[in-house]
Amino acid sequence: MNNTELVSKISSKINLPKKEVEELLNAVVKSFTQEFADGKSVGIQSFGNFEVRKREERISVHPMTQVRTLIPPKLVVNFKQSSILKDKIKDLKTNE
Amino acid sequence: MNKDKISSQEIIDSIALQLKINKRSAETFLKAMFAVIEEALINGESVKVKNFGTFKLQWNEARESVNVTTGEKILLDGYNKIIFAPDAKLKEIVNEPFAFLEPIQLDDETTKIETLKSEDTFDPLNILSDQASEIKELLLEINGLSKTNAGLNIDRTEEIQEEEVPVEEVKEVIENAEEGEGEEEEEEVSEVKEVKEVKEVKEVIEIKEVNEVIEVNEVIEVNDYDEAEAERTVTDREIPDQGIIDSIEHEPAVVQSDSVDDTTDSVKTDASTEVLKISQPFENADDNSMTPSNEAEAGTISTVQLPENHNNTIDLEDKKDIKETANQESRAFQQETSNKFTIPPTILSTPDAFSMPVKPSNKRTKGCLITLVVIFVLVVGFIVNYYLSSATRCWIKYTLLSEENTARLNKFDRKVTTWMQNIEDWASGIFVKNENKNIIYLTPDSSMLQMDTISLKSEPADTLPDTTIIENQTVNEKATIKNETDSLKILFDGPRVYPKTIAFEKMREGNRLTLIAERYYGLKDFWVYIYEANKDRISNPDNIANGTEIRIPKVDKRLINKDNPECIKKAKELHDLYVGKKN
Repeated sequence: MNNTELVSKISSKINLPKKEVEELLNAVVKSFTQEFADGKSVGIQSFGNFEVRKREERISVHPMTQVRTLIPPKLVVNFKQSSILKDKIKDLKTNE
Repeated sequence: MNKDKISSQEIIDSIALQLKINKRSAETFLKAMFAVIEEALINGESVKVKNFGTFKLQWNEARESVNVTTGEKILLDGYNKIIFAPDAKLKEIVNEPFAFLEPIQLDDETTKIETLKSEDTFDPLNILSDQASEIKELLLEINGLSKTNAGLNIDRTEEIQEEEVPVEEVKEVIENAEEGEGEEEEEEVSEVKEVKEVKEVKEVIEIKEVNEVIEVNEVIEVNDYDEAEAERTVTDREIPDQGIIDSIEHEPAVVQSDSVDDTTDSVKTDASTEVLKISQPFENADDNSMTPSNEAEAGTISTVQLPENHNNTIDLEDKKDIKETANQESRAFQQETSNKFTIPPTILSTPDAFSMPVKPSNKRTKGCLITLVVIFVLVVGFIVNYYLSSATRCWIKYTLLSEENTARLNKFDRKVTTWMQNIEDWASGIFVKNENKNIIYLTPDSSMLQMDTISLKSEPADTLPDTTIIENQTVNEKATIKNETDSLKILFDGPRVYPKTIAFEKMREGNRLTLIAERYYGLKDFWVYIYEANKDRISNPDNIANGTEIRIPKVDKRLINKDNPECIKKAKELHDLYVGKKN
């Protein structure tokens, strides 16, 4: 499901024109991004937590060339599903 | 890193604020949005949200595990997991604080350092190797001396072990030349005597291999040797005719008078003795059953020469007894020895009474000079190398580190950098000095080559400043270390300028200078330096307008040293100053 599909689905669900939905979606993404940029984590009830984590710097060794490279620290967004969602999708495999 | 957790409510608020809609609709939208995503995920679809990321469902297989407490094996059920792969754009924005960091190939870095190091050591090494080869060549010549002088039967191939001995000998010779003490003259004399003995022994051994005429030959050879010496003194006297060596003019007059008696005879017999010398070794080495005619010849010649040789030996002894000035004596000695050791090559070539002695004597003096120069250059080279290497090492490390970001610097070399800056400071100062001194040193070297004998005496005097420089440097070093604490104070008290910029930061809502400072400098307290650099843009550090572009300055690492309580104290003082001013 790509962005447009998502937009159409949401619009059909809450009876809003696609344009507005798209605007809203963009606003959501923007605010999320803003929070992440500030290093804050965002929790969405019954869905999961978005968290900015720092990946520590490390030394990687290329297995073939044995070239050691220092990978700098990095900030990444991490998503952890909520237990509710986990339970919801847990049955998924067995159901199918 | 602020680990503040934001609930969906805040997101809703911000959406409502952005789009100027009521919170309710924003909330319904957000819920609907995640509901749709969830739905799609449950349907086994992946959801892609533009500029945000992709939600995917991942099946984690069931796996075996061990109950930690009981040690029982348990089977963990497989489960679905939603994984979120952030969009490239989101990744970029999130990673902005560390965006300027790039992976560094460590091996490259180390090799860089190594190559740089090797470069800095390379020049001196090259010089050293060149010098070493030169020394080897010279030592080969000198070894000839040492063999004859000390009577050592060391092969010429064993250069390394022998290196030290000849150098010392050369030094001795120099000392002799300079100091001119009677004792050393005596030593020389004894040495010469030893040489004679040794030669005799050698020749005995050699000749024993040959024939019955051994004894005769032995006498001949011994005589030849003495003869050759006399010959050389004679030929030396003849050299001025060709006008090549000035030093011979200083030859002891007594020796001249002594040798003059023999000149006529010896010069005549020169050629024949030379031939003899050549023929004899050949016979000895090549063929034991060589034609006896040669030996007979040798015998006859030797008988003829014997008286002469006696005369010569007497001459030499006379010469020794008469204590000449040291220079003359040593010079004569050098020439003798030089002639001695250059005999072997001339044996192979056709004997030339005139050309032969001229070359070696010339070579000898030159060789002596070159060894001296080389020794001197070596000493200077070592000193330079030591200082250059230490200085450049610091420089390399520092430059490499300065290329890296301050954050990593703080992490890695917090202590080292401060040290290195100090070192760099004095190194930059000393470095120039050192180089200048070197230039001064090197010039006498080159001039010495041209000036020949005169430089010999001036050289030891030149080597003295070396030690004084070292002392000066150590003193300077100590001084700079003392200045370290003072410099920090100056840094604190003096006006700070921020010419360099690490990054630019746009102020957003919820972003504060303290947060930025923590991100870039590692401590919130250092925000004051950012503020100082952006005073023109920021009127009130407590309230910065959104969207204000802030320059993150590169601050002296000594100032933002987290471990230094002084730094923190100073920063807090500044904080009070700026914040208090506003209030």
